[in-house]
Amino acid sequence: MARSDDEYDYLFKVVLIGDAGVGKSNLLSRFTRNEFSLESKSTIGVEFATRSIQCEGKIIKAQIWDTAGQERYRAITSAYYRGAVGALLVYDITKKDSFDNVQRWLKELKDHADANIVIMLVGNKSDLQHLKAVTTDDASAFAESNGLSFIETSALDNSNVEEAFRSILSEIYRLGSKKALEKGSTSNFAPNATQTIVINPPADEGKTEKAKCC
Amino acid sequence: MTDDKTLFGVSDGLLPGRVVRLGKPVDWASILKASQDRERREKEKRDSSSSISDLKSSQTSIPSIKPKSKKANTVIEESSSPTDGETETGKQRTAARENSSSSPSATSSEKLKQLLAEPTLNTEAVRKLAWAGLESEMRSPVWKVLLGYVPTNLARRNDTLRRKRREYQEAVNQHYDPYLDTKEQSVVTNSSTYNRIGNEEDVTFRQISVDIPRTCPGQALFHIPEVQQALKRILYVWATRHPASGYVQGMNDLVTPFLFVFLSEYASVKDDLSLLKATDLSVFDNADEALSNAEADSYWCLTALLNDIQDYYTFSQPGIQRRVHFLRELVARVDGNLCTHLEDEGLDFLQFAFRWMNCLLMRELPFHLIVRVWDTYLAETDGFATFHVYVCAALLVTFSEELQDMDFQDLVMFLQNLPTESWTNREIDVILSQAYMWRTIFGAAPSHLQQAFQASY
Repeated sequence: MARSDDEYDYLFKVVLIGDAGVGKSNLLSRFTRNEFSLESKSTIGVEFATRSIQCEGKIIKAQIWDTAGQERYRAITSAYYRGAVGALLVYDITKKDSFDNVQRWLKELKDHADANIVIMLVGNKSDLQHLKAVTTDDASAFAESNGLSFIETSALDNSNVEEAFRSILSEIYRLGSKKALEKGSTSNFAPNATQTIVINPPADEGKTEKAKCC
Repeated sequence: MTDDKTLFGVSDGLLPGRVVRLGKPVDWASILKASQDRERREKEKRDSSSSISDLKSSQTSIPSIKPKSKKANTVIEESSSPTDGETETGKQRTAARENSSSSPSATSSEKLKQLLAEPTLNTEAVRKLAWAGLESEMRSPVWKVLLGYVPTNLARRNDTLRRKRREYQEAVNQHYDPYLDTKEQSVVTNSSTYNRIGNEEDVTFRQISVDIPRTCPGQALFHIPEVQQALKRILYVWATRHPASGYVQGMNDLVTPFLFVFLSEYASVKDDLSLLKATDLSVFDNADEALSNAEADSYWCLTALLNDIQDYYTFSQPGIQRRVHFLRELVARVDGNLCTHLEDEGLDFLQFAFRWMNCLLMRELPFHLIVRVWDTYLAETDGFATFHVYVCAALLVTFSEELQDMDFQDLVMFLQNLPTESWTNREIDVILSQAYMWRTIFGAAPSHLQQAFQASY
């Protein structure tokens, strides 16, 4: 963990959600460590990684929470939605069910996340074009009608992964700035921002500042 | 048993079964004679009552939650153990066995072989030896008896195995439609093939299918197609027969130690690591027999294991939440500074320990060490449900110093990827001993800790 990682202007909490096996963990490891594994283990509960990017001259640190996809874990994982300012809702372009379930995931977010969370629909595994079961047009139309941004990615061949994360983070930043995000200096944010954003599953009301940002 | 165990030198980093106790010279002949007599009497007594595995099978065929079933079995087991007068002989005999050598690990297998060959198993003696860790070759038979999968009565063991394997095969025939596999492949193109099977089974099957290829990715053995098929059937049949929880991700991890240990019985390679690296079935002398027996045995042993912790996997996973709460209480008691630091940093125990419970540390420790840890869990009467929490506490506290220097983010990253890859039995022994001490301190006394745990039920 590089120390420089701790210098940032903004800290955004983002969640990765979607059906089991669509590639959430690989998107995360590709973005944060440039790693990909065909045989990564299933995520149990939640996992976490961070990466900082530059956006309009500011350093934005993304704290990304990767969640288990199976229904049974919903009760545990949904607790982590609170305080998240962004969500990457991932489906697998070769698995129609995973796209059909997007609607259910949106409802999850509606029930458990902040109302103004920025959501991006991500069609992963775009390297498997020959097995494509969800057309880009369908997904794009769905995204538009639900007010989501949309991108197709491949964690395997590393296409659009960087773009997906960058685009949602800058969207969050722009929306936040628009709402006159009050603090911009590193020193103000650095020491306590981590705690500001941490969401513990049991009730803890001291974490709402982040929501104000956006 | 507890009294006996307090004698063990855990503080020296030694493990209970390995402690060589000094005692008077032993009159082997008379002890042997007495124990044979006792065993004969017990055999007669036991033959008239139903075996443990009979009980288990009747429970597992009912798709309902019986979290305390293993306890019930234990009680039965104890009630059929020697009466007061005879206990003394049993103890002497055990002590005699343990005295008979000063090179414990080399002869533990020999002792176990002797014990397993007795007409009625001295379960306590087996537990003691297993606690300290088993030799690879002894795991398969010992795990089976300690889980109550096969009866303590030697004469009935083979029959039971045959019967249980047949029962499993029947369950597979009943629940596992080979059609599921072809359907899974055609799922993208042809949705009309859905008709035959209900949606719930469909979801289960798909979930299991997604998880099979990413089960123990580091171990080639679990990537052999036939082994993966066996895994799939075990999980699917279990899920179908236990609808209260169904299949939950992570259960795929929990089958692997069983499958590995039971397969190892048939492997021509005798060391664990070579078997784990096997890339095809040529490591087995008779692959068909090896696979079908190991598959059935793994199914029943998984069933016995999950019976104890089924509330880990039911809706909202209350069993895990309680265990994590208990872990927090425990750490607060044994390492208050660490507990305070974690909480000051805003780290909730659930955040890292959820997986520790859900996968019984299988994601935290190397595979061959998990198998070692399970020797001890199986030797304990409530190893997976209770002793495990003490082990989690000991594991966490091992890193106490480092953890106390970390902030929230570093804590999470560290705890979700513990640096244990290079660990050996040595580190595990220390952790198990530590857990054992704490369990002795907190488990026996009606302390507030214990009350907190019980109250949470």
